Amino acid sequence: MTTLDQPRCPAEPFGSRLEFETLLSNTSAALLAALSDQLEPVIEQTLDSVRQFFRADRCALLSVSPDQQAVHVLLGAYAEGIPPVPRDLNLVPAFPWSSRRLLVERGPVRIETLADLPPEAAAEREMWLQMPIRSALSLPIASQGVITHLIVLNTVHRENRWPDDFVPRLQVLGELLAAALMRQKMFTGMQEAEERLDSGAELAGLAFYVVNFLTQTTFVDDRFREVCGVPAECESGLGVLAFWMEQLHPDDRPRVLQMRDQLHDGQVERVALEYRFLHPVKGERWIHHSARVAERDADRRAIRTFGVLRDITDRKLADAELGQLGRRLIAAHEAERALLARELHDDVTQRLAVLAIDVGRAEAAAPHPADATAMREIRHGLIRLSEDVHALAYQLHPSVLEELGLAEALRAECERVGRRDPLALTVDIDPVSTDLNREAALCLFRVAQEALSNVSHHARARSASVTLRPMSGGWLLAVRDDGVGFALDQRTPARTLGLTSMRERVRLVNGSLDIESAPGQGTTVVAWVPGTEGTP
Amino acid sequence: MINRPVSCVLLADRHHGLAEGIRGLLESAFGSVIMVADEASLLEGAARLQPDVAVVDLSLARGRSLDWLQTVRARCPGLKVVVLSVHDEESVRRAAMDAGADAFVLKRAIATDLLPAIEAVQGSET
Repeated sequence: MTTLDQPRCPAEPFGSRLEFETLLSNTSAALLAALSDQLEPVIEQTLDSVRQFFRADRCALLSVSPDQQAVHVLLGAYAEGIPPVPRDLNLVPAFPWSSRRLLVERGPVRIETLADLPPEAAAEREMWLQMPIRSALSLPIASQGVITHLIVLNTVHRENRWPDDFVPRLQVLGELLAAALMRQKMFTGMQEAEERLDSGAELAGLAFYVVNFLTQTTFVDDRFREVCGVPAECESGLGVLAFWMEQLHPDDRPRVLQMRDQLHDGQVERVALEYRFLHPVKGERWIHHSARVAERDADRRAIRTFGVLRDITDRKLADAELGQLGRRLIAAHEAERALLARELHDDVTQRLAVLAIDVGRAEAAAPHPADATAMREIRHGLIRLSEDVHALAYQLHPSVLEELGLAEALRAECERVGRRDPLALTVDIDPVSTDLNREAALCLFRVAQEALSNVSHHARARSASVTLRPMSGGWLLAVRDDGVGFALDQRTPARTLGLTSMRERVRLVNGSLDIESAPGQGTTVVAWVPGTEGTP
Repeated sequence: MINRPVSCVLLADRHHGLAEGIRGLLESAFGSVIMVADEASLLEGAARLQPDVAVVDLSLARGRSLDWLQTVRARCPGLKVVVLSVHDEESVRRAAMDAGADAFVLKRAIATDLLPAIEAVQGSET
């Protein structure tokens, strides 16, 4: 029989056990002390100590793929002159018996001589002779019920003893190493996540702060200092807070501080608001501010708050530009329609009137009654054509609005609706309301037109009213009906589009639009526009 | 037809073609038809020529259409004013009448309605 190499001090199991326990505790301490990026040398050193302890040629820590098919050599220690094993190994096909024992039965593979390999380990025998491997000890290491690692020891030129006593201790050591590696992986993941978060915050331009009212301290990050222009002398006390309050735009300060009070009193858990802020260098900036309370005292008063700020001045400017663009688009659209309507009125309608006069005179002078009848038919045809052209022109643009003002235009519109639908329509218009600028007047007219169109098409109302009154430095238009109403959150696409268009028009003249409705309750559309003088 | 001869009708319409057509119609009944095409000429003509009747397009002045009517009413209280318009809404007719018009004729119906309307206002007292 071949002489088996014994582990160190085989005659003194107690001494060698102590040595192994020392190795374990040293490893454990070294792993705990090691920073994540210094973990690998510690593990390598441990593996080498284990290799020497067992007098093995190789000692390696392998990771097992999640599908439990392949292994990868993470780290290894090798005796002088011993080549490393391949880094990646398709374990299951290459070593079917060993892999079954390790990964399925979850037991150690402890082979001291080739003769120890059972008959079903024919593949292993073949591979070992090739590699060569003369004896080996492999242990599976589980984490959360899954085999994640293997610790592998083997010899190349000689057979070796793998004393039973040390197998469980080696198992513990392997678990220590695997746990350290998992910790490193998590740490790296966290670090990456933190980096991503940080770069995300940077991309989003988020400025962060924490205020602690108990310790009277403030933390603000560099972006906060940049966004708000915090002076260098404002350090970690509540000076930053005082500075922030001081620089709030005077018009926005009461609103902002009121919301802050609500947050601090416990009326709300978080706030998100936009306000103007006077940056010492950049001047007036728009800020988006989200804040919440991290900790409250027994009286629900905030002890610690934190939040993020973002400079949204660019977005505000873009919004304003978009508004300008919308206003210009609507104005251009309306101007085009008005031009067409004017052409129809000033040219086509007048020429039709001239033709009607000419035909009328010819009719009066016709020598035969039959001619007169024919002329009359032509004249009536011209009148009908004229009516149609006027209706078309009106659809394009209510020129009566410019000629007689909003009050008459609204009355004319109501009259048209009244002619079209069996609807009892009352019009109540304050006579003062005629000196409204053209853009605002057209806006209110279009809102009334859309609202009345909705009454006709959707409301199934018996009566409706249109009122126009001066109010709060502007004019208030209300269109009410007693129809079926609708749930505000259940609108048909067509109606939604109409409402959106109304809202947009009103917004563009700095007005406001309110719609009140409920099923069976009728609908009220209320539009207010400021009554600034002058035509744009 | 017209019961008593009318020396002068002032016709104010900025649409030249139509004004010519109306003049042809009016000349068959009136001694003289004076055409003007803007608000200022209307006011001046009304003051200097002392016409019996003025036939005026509602849209003579773009915007604030009824201002001229009120001015004419104030300056020439005896003048009969017939307003022409393309607008067929009753509210427009009422607005014109409320502002001091004596009659309102739709442009498309001038051929048949204008002369009777003038006749009617001449017979009425202002």
